[in-house]
Formats: sequence, C-alpha cells, structure tokens
Amino acid sequence: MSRSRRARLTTAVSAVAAVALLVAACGNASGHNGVSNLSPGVTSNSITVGSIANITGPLSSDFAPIVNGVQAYFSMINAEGGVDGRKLKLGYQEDDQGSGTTDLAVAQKLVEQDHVFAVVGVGTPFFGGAKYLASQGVPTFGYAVSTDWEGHPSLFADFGSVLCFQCGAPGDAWTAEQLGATSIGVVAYGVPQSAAACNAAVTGMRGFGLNVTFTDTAFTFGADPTADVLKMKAANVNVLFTCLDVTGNVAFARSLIQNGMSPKQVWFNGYDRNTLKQYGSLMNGVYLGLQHVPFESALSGDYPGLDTYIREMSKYQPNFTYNETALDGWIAADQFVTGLKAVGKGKLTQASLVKAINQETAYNGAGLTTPVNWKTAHTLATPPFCQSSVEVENGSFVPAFVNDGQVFTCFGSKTSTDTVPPPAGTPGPSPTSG
Amino acid sequence: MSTFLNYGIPGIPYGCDFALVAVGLVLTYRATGVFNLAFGSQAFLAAFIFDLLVRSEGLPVWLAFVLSVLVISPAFGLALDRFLYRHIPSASTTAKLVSSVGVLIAIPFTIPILFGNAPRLNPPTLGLNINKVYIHVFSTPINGAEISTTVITVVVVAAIMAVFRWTSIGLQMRAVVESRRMSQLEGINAPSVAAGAWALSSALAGLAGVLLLPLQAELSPTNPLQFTALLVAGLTAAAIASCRSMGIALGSAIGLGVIENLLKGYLPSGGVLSSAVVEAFPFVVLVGTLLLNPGLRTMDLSSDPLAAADPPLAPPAIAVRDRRLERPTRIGFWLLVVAFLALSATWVPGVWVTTFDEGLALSILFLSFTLMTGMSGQISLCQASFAGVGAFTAGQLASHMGLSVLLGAVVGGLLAAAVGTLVAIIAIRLSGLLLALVTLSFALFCDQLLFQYSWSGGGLAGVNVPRPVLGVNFSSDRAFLFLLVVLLALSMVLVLLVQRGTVGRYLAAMRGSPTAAASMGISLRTVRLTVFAMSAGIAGFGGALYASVIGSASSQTFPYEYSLVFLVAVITLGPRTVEGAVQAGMGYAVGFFALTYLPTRFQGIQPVLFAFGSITYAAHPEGILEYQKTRWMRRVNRVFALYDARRGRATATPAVELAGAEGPAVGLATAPVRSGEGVGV
Repeated sequence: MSRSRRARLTTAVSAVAAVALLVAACGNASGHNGVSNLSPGVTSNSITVGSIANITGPLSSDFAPIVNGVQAYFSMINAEGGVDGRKLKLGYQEDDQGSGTTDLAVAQKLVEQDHVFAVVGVGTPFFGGAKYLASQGVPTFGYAVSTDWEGHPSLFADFGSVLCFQCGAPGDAWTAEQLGATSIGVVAYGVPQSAAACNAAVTGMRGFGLNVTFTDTAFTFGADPTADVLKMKAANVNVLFTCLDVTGNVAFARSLIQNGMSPKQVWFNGYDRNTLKQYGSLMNGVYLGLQHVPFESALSGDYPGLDTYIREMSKYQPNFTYNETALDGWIAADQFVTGLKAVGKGKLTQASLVKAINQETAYNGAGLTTPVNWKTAHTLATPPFCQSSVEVENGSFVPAFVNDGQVFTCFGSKTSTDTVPPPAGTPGPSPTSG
Repeated sequence: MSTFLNYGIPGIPYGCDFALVAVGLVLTYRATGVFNLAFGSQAFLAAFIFDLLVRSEGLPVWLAFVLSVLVISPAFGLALDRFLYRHIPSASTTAKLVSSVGVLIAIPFTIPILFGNAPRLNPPTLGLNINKVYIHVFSTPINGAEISTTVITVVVVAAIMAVFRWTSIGLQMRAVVESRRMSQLEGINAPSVAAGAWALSSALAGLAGVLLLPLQAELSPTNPLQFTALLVAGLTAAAIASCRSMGIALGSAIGLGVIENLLKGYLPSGGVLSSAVVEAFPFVVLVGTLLLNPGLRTMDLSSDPLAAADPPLAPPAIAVRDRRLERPTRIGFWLLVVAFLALSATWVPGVWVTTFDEGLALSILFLSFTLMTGMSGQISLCQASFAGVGAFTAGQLASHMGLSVLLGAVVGGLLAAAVGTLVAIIAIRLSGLLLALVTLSFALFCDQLLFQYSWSGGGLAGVNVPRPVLGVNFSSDRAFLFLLVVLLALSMVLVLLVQRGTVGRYLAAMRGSPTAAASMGISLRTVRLTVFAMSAGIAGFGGALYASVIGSASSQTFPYEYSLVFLVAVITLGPRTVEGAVQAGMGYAVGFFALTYLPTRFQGIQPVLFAFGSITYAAHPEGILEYQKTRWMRRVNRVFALYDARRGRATATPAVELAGAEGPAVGLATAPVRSGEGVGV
C-alpha cells in the first residue's frame, strides 16, 4: 500500500472513530431503560399482546403449541365479554426459531414496533429476550425451561420463575420408593438441559440414601443404548429414570425389553397422547412425573379447571387440541387475565399489572396446578414441593399415586420424602391422609 | 468372554449405520471426486420422502422405497451433477467443498418450507420389525432393524466394490475422477460416467437415510441435521480408508461401532473421566487418522495433468472501475457511512439498531473468512467455534473476575488465536479437503463436548456477556453501535494491512501455486500458521462482541452448523474483500430479522438463499455480489467508452480491462493488481 493511500485510510478511520465516539456519548445519553408508566397496546375496548415461541426451530413440537393454549383461553374470555369490557387480542405471534438471538430480536420488535401491552405465551428453549423484556417492565408469561426467568419481577413463569431441579428430588426419591427401587439407573443426554435435571435427581436420591447404581448423564443422541442397558442389567436396576426425548426414551425402552429387562421406568418427558399412540407397547409400565393435574382426571368432578381446559381446547380439533404444551399457554393466559382482574377498573398500566400479580400468594394456574406465591416465586422455590404422576397401563395414561381423589403429592422440604398435605388453594379434594 | 461379546456384538449393526455414511462418502469421492459433505442431507431428504410416501400417500413400504431410493434419490444426484458439479473445475477442491456445504445447508432448510414443521412420530421401517428379536448371537438379542441394516449394508457395499473392481463402468468412473479431461481424450464419455456416479452415490445416500430411519423415533423437519450425529464416525471410517477402499471403510466403521460399545461397557459408568473418554473417542480417532494416515496426505492433490488449464480468477470490481467513478464512489461511500451513523443515532427504530449491532459484530467475525478463505484460499469449517471460544472467554472473565468485556474480547480473541494455532499445528501439513475435515471435526468436538460444560459454555444458564464500559456506558444499543463501528473499522484496517503486507503477498503466491511459492523460499508452514491464528483471533474477538450484543452466550449460540452457514454467507457476498465481509455480516443480520415479518414457514429461507449463492462459488469465487458489481462496472465502462468515442477522446478504461476480459492469472502475477482490493472507496 502506498504511503499516501495508507495515510488517507488512517485519516478516514480516525474520522469515523471520532464521529462514532462522539455520537456514542449522545447515544448513551438518549438510551432508555426502566418501566414505562404508559399503557401500550391498550385501548378502551381491547388489549393487544404478543407471543414468542419456537415455531420452526429444532424441537419446535415441544414449544409451538403454547400459542394454541393462549388463543383458546383468550377466545373463551372474549366470548364472555372480555376483561372490563376490553377484548384480548393475541395480535403478534413471533417465531424465535429456537434461537436466543432471534428471541431477543422479536422481543424488541414486539415492544418497540408492535407496542404490545404484554407478552403472553413464551415457549422457547433459549429465552434471549428475557432481560430485555424485564428491563422494559413488560409483563411476560410463559413456560420456563431455563434460568432466564429468575429474579425479574415482571416475568411470570407458569409454575414459578425459579427453575429448581433439586426441588424435584424428594418427589423422585419418593416415586422410587413407591416403585420398590432397590437399584436405580439414571440416563440423560450430555447437553446441559437434560444432564442438569438428571444430575439433580441422582444427587437428591443418593442424599436420601437410595441405591443409585448406574448413571449415564452424557448419552449421545442416536447412539446405541445396549452397553448402558447391559450394565444396568448387571447392576440389577429395577427403576430407571430418564431425562431424554422421544427418540432416546423409545430406544432405551426397546433395548430394555429386548435384553430381557423390565424395570419400572420414570420418564421426565413424554406425556403426549400421540407418542403413546405410536409407542404404547413400549411405554406400558412407564411413569411420568407432572406439575399439573393429569388430563385423565377430567370429568371426575374434582377438577373443574381441567374440565374447562379440555372442553375449550377440544373445540379446535382437528387444527389443534389439548396437550401439555398448550396447557402451558392456557395457564400463562389465565395468569395474565387474573392479573388484569386484580387491577380492576383502575388505571391499567404494565406496572400496575405487575404489581397486582406480585400481590398474589396462591395462584393455582386456572385450577390446574398447586399454588404459586408471587411474593417469593421470582427468586425462591419454596416448599411444599408437589407433583402428580401418570402411569401407562394397557396403552393408556392413568393417574398414579392418587390419594382420595387428590392427584398431587407434596413434600415439606428438599431434604425429606415425608409427604405433607397439599397447600390451601390446591385444586381437587383434600386427602384424608398425608 | 460372554460379556465381551454381549457388549461387542450390538456394535456391529450400530457400526453398519456408520458404514453407510462412510461408504457413501468414499463412493462419492471415488466416483465423482467430490467429498460430499451433503451426504447426510441427501439421506435425510430420502428418509423424509420415504416417510411422506408411506404416511401421507398411503403407498406400500416397498413402493415408497423404490420411489424414494431408486428413483428420486438418483434423479437428485443427476440434477446435482447436471446443474452443479459438472461446471466445477476438476482441480478445485475448495469449490467442490463449498458447493457440497451449500447443498448440505440448502436441502434440509428447504424441506420445512415445502412440507411444514410437524414432526413425524414412529416413521416406517424398511425390512424386518425393529421391535422383534429374531435371533440371538452368543445370547445377544438381534432385532429386525439390526439384521436388515447389517445384511443390506454388507450386500450393497460388496456389490458396489464388485462394480468398481471388475466392471468397465467402475474403471471408467475411477478414470474420470483421476482426470476428467484425460479420460475424455481416451474416448470415455466423462459427463455420462460422472452422472452415473452421482446417481449411484445418491441412491446409496437414500438407502442410508431409509435404513437409519428406525433410529429416529421422531423425524422432525425442523431438526434437519439430526443425521449428522453419525457424521463423525462416518468421517472417521472414511478417513481410515483413505477415502479409497470401501471395504476398509466398512470394516473400520463396524470396528468403531464395536469399540465404542466396548468402551462404554467396560469403563466405569458415571465417572467424569470415563464419560469424557467415551465422548471424545470418535474425535480423537478422527483427528489421529487425519494426521497419521499417509494415504490421506495426497488425496486432494490433483493427478490431472490438464488441471492447470482452468481459467484464472476474475478481477475484483474495484479493479475494473473507471477512474472517473473513483471520486463519486468515495464520496458516496462516506455519505453512506455518515448517513448510517446519523440515522442510527436518531431515527432508526431501536429494534433495527440491535440488528445493526449484530450485523456489525458479525462483520468482524466474518473478516476471519476474508483472511482464511478469501486470501489463503483455504476452507475452515470451525469459525463459529472460534467465535464461541472468544465469547465464552469474555463472558467467564467478566463474570468471575469482573474484567471489562472489551478487554475480555481481546483476551478471548487471543485465546481463540491460540486454539487456532493448535488446530493449525495439527492441520499445518494438510490443505484443502483435509484441512476442512480437521476444522469440521474440531467444530463438532466443540459443539458436542467442549461447549457443553459449565466452566466453558456456562451450562444450563449460559454465560452472561455484558456490554462494555469505557468511560461511556455502552448498554444502550445505539451507543454500542458506534463502538462497534470503530472496532469494525480497526479490524478492517488490520485485515487490509495483512492483505497488502508481506503475509498477504505470500498468501497470494501460495494461493496461486504452493509449489512455486515454496521454491521462492516462502515458508508455507509459517504463512498458514499465521493466517490460521489471525483468522481464529478475529473470529474470537467478533464472537465475543456478538455475544455482548445479545447479552449472553450458551452452547447453542455457536453450534457447528453456524460455521457452515456463516461460510456460505460470506462466500455468497464476497470472500475476497473486507467489504464483502461487511456485506455478509450486515446482510446476514438484517436479512434474518427482515424474515421475521414473513409467515413462519419461510423463516428458514435465508440459509437456503445463501446456500444457493454459495453453490455459484465454482463459477464466481469472488462471490456473487462481487461478480455482479464487476458486471455492472463493465456496463458502466461501456457507457463511458461510448461517451468518449462520441467526444473523440481516448477511453480511461482501467489497466486490468486492457489485460483481458478475465483479468490476470492467479498468483504472484496478480499481486500488483490485487492491491486494488480493499474497502471499495
């Protein structure tokens, strides 16, 4: 490069740098953060919200239906006249493609361009927009599979915003005890989302003195499970916990049968009627731990919230119907509407909605979950820790460990498998024994 | 002994799954001269069509198999040959690789656009029932799918080997790969033979896809790269076979399956060390094979004596620009920059400012391709992994030591450069295809192992990568944009200085003729090492800034496939110039965000467009955008020439135009002209 050209280039770059730094200061000065007192997306007769879901990315079938639950719930509320005369509009349905980067971009789009009042129906593995939505004070509702929801007062995850794998340990241990576990195996993929859940289960169960004889929390997607199965056979494993997807669960279930093993299996994923329809023969005897009232408890008269959910969702067949992911959207929408009703006829702002919800101490997810105390649930997972379960019997899901009609089993602390009565506000009958 | 067999025997059908990939790679390479990285994508396509025909169209399994594997797959192979590979110069390993990466990306991202996103549970299976145990071998149960896979794989591989060894067609295929033009001189209809080879190898890809289908309980159009889980083992077996012997590939693949099962069986379960050994095993074997197998060293060296007759590279657009356009172009460029800065500071909506921030950070990252591919003509398939190293370093340093992110980004860049140097030391003796394979294996290693730990990728929560503070707080997107502009400008200058300095000249010489460059005393080893380290460093620095834009990085921020997508983006928009990297970075970010306005079905269209763009690399290695710019420059030149002729003046056409329409030859001779490459101002 000639000296003159080099000099020119240096001058040009210096000029750009000077201009940039100058305007950078201005840009910083004009930047804005914090909670708005205005009410974007709210008119006298409507409230417009958006959703963010992984519609087209990997594992989208585990997240996309959340939007269906929101739509169905809003339709039901609108048919009843809306909230305080305002109809609810899911005006913008964003697809983050399972990417945290895209998630952030579409979150910004919803807030800055579409001016939504809230984001209702977040279903994504990588919630990249969490901090941004929190910084803008936008009320946000959805299902948490990451720690992004924690610590933000305007972010409301369906079962509490703290992702606490350890809190499930008493339930895992109790389930293992109920299944007569003498030798326990645990299998998970090597990815953090899978391994973290199962590692917590292993630590917890060992802490309760259970005999965990086999662990593989680094299983590879698509790999041959035979070696693991044979080692479990050698260890006389009679209860197997898995943190796998359908492909992994089916591969293990098949290999167990073909190698002459019949341990009780507890799957953390797989409560899906389509999966059962396709793989019912492999799933017989499998237990699945849930956080909500099992769908099979419908029409018992004990769970009117569930009856409503299934009735409303069934109206949309064959386009979509009820399932676990749609239920997450349903609860998110219900939490939003519950908050709106709590604000009442006062001035509806994002801040007032957030404040109203954070006053709730026993929100039970449209009658589908055990209560969440929003005074603490942003930062703490507090006992009692509850779970429900289903078992696959003859190709059908059946509620398991039901106590006098109550599907939830609760534990008083992370360190005890002693059951306690479900807290006040839990849907369903009160069991006569703990 | 019984335990040994119980662990080992199931590895045989499992290894046959690897073998289908490995033999497919070897077959395609031997029959067409292309290391077909898109083999897994073609397998996925066939499996998807097979499932579609059975489930949606209600066809019997055998008819769906015939249509998907024996009709559609070969037809697709013929199309690849007719419209793509036939036009690629026989000696250009890089062009073939880039094209195969383009196909690898294009196929799976097209499927959801055409057929929707719904996953398909319990896909149909070919052959015997997977849920039924038919025989026991040394008390080891063997199910229907294992029998089908093993028998069909062995029979098909034996048949293909027989065709290659004992038939004239096989001999002709090998001859065409050795030297297409020489074989034509011998009277062989090379195009027809190559087309037949593509049809055959594509049918094998289809067969592999259908046979692998039982491993997938759920076939998801939105997880199109799920077959690539077998890629590492398939690559390893192909490498052990030196990409020559299908029999060795088959045996190696089965051996790998057996050894992997034995390792898992005999190492204690649950231990960190044993988990790491099992997980790292395929990568260690792959890299070891690539390094130690002498048969691989020469596999991408052309034996075609007519290879050097390929036309030289086209000149860059700036080299054909009429001198009268220089001043207006320069003024226009600076006006554009000032307008961009001013509007971004004031009028542009915040959501677009964030997108611009991402584009600027990506532009820095993409400058690494300018060094690696544009200047040295080599392909790296792990630039996103280097970006991840930079991002995680900056984030971990900020989280645990409170280090400024900007300083952390520099440290991250240096660490990425160090890691790049290590990779380069491993790959230094390799070039072209093998370098690409080593980098691909490193990318897969990072994706599947290294970035999954909490000390690196931050585990479940990922790593926070905050915005930098330099007196000014850059937490605002608008403020950060200006800092990114400065950093991009500095990075561009750095690359330009390298491009025009000694290393750049050496690279130009190396790209033109490594042998000639070495004969002049240029140390290829030192030059390659330098370029690789610098390229990795810039990628790491850019990756850290990109993570700072979005606020965090996790194991999913820089998956291995992003290296491929990034590559095709840069290849499409201009790998040889720094402005090409900026075009690619901004185009990638802006295009991605713009697509969120379209219906969800079309959200994956951008990788498809880039992939198709990169497929033109063989014809236009300067990038399709640079090619179009050159065309338009020539048109403008003609207008100027007409204008001058009417005025009776001599035209001011640039020197390179006078030298010939296609520009100067590649290599040292181009150095004076190539110095014209630059920021386009």
